Amino acid sequence: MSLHAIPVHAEAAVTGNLRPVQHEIRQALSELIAHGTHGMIDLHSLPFSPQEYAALDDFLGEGEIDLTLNVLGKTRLRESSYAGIWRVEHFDDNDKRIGYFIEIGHVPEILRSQCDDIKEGLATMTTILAMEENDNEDDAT
Amino acid sequence: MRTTQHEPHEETLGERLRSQGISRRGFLKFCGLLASSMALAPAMVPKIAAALEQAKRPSVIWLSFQECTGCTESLTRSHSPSIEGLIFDAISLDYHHTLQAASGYGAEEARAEAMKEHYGKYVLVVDGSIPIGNPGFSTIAGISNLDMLKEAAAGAAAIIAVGTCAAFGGLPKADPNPTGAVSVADIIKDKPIINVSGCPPIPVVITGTIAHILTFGIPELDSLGRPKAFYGQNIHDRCYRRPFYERGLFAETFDDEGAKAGWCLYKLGCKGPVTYNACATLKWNEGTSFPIEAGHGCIGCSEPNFWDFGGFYKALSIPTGMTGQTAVYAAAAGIAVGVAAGAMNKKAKMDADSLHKTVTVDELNQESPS
Repeated sequence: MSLHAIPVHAEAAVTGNLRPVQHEIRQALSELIAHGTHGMIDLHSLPFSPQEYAALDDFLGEGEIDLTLNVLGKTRLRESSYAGIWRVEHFDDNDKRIGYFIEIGHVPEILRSQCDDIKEGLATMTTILAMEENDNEDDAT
Repeated sequence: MRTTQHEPHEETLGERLRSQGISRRGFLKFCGLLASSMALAPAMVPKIAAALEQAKRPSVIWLSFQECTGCTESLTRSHSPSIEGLIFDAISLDYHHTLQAASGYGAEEARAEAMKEHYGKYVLVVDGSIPIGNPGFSTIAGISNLDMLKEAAAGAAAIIAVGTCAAFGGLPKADPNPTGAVSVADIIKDKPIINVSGCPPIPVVITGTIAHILTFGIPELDSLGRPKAFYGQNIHDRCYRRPFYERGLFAETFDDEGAKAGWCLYKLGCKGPVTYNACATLKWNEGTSFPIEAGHGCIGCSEPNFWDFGGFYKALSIPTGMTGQTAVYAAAAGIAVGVAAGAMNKKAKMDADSLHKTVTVDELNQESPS
């Protein structure tokens, strides 16, 4: 039996947090344009009713990009209908949402290749090329 | 000729996670979730990632005294990949008599060895209260809880008192406290002590506190020694039923129309207005819900003496002279009404004790009007 099967139907509740969050997003978008500041709003730790989540979804709309990453469970990245505003949802192995952020930036942070990974990649590629060139030289002699 | 002696390489937390197949993207996701759980601004995520990446794996010694093992269950029942699981895997848990394979003298030798090797650097975690009435009330390998705590605390860098028993005495301390149970802070006075209260505490609050020590040191604490990041707000202020409270809509019984409609549980004894914890935001069972969401009021388990708080199903009492909505607001604002109720109940009990009479629940409830 799922939780939804329990016959308790809570009335629609309004926490009053929707409008402040909408303005916070708008402010973060202007900061991105003016100073290039990457913004992030943590929705998971705010009291938000299901109705307010739905209203925020409607407000943001759907954009062109919808990506799913497989890192410690799935992570879904969706650009909203406003360029530069992303919904970032983290899920666990059982596809249960464990984190929900609004990111305001050119791309969500988690999508960028990490500097240390790039450095390690360069070192690995350099080693492979050097080994291949050594092999070629050995073959030639 | 001089020879250079190299220190053995101490594995960092980042290296440890990477060796477990967790990519840097995974690590970033983990840090974002950790910041969220610690109520830190998302802008702190890169700083947490950088600090955790370089943090050394800490040696942790976990002592369990007068307790029910609920705190350990809380931590180990979490599912993967969870923040608490990842942090728990990343520490070097050198002694925990419930979880370790070794037993008897072997276990105690492991504890002594870890304390010697990491003297001054290990984190001591304690769950359970300490009986001072009679050392024989609770012993491990023939060593009294009091002696073991003093010995282990001497070499600890910091102590985390996990659960309301270790933090405030908890259930063993409930009136009439037959074992003379006290908290860690009642005994140890010369070490930083972080109280992570709750019966049990939320698992990620336990590991989040460890993560905070690893990244930024001892967290900012409230007046009861609890990390403000997790205990800074009361349940009532973060409760999704708060709008019903504001509109004066209350469930009067557990099966009335108000209860079915999800109205505020204040009149059914909810202690949310005077309880500081993160249940309403972090929730339980993998973030599924928290007690109020399941239809039961908060019992205030992260507060001192919650067991003697005047009854789980009795509404927080209102100071006399206040009526109607004013009284309700005053109670929710955290006026020490619960304490007042407890004091009145205590008087009833003391009177009864002196007369050798039994006090009934009804009599107790009459003392503090709801």
